[in-house]
Amino acid sequence: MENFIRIGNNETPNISLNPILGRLEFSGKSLPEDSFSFFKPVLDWIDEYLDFPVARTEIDIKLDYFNTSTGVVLGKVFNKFQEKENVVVHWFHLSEDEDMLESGKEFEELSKLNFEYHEFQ
Amino acid sequence: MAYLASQNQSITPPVQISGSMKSLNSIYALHKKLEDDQIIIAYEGELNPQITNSVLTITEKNLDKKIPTTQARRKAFHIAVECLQNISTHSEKIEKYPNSIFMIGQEGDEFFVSSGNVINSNKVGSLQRRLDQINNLDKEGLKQLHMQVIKESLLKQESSNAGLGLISIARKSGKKIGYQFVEMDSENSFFSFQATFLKEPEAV
Repeated sequence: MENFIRIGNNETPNISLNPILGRLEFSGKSLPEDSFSFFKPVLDWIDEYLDFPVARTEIDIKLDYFNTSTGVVLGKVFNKFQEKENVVVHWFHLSEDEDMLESGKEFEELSKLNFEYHEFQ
Repeated sequence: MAYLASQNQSITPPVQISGSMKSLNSIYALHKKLEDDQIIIAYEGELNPQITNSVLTITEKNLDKKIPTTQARRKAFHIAVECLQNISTHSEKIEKYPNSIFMIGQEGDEFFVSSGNVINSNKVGSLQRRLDQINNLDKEGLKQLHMQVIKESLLKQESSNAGLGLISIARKSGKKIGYQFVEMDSENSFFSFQATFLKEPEAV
């Protein structure tokens, strides 16, 4: 299975999915109008990864902004890992961005995954 | 004309090349009006995904210049994205009235994000009910509704985030959403929308 790499821009996030390290990273901004089409390859990649996941999967969400449709997609990503062993979500928020921290808590409540919170500048 | 330059300002005699004097006068009047009202961005025209993206790029630049606090800037951008995408993605195009308006400005201790677009009048009732439902909820109620709608969207195979934008705007704003419908003809209505938020966050 191959790495999945996308370089972001003003509208879409950087995405790096590594099946050997079990590391899924999303950073930057995510506001595509059609998030569902944009993230379809990511969701497909995850389905394939989950056939043979490594012992521990870490998901880094380091977004400084995401729109509501990206939010639904993130929910879908987390849902795929429900009932899997050893999954940690590292939820980053810019310092003073209380709203982003609160979003993380809501996704934690929705997904019941193990969330760790980190600040970044 | 309401916004003509006042008498004590010196005005050079206009050189009229073609067209009417009215447009020459009104461009200054419009500029002055936007400056006086401290408008951060104003756009009038079609809103398709590509244009929306460009408008957002300019919006972000202007917000960086004109809103000093990070938190207010983030709120304004978030509301702007949802507001514009609501129009360009979720509303059906009406050929007769292709143009929408979008504006961010300030009044007193608040910033506002406003938009206006034409919708089919048969949509007015359901949109009004949704806005009233949102406006009747407090902070906790909005959070619960937001989570409930996300949960429902997650269950659907067909992905949709219908309604989430408005809820998200209301949560960011912390104020009631302002709206108005004006009948334009027998089939269409103009939908004016405004979300406001405090320049300085309220002390907790």
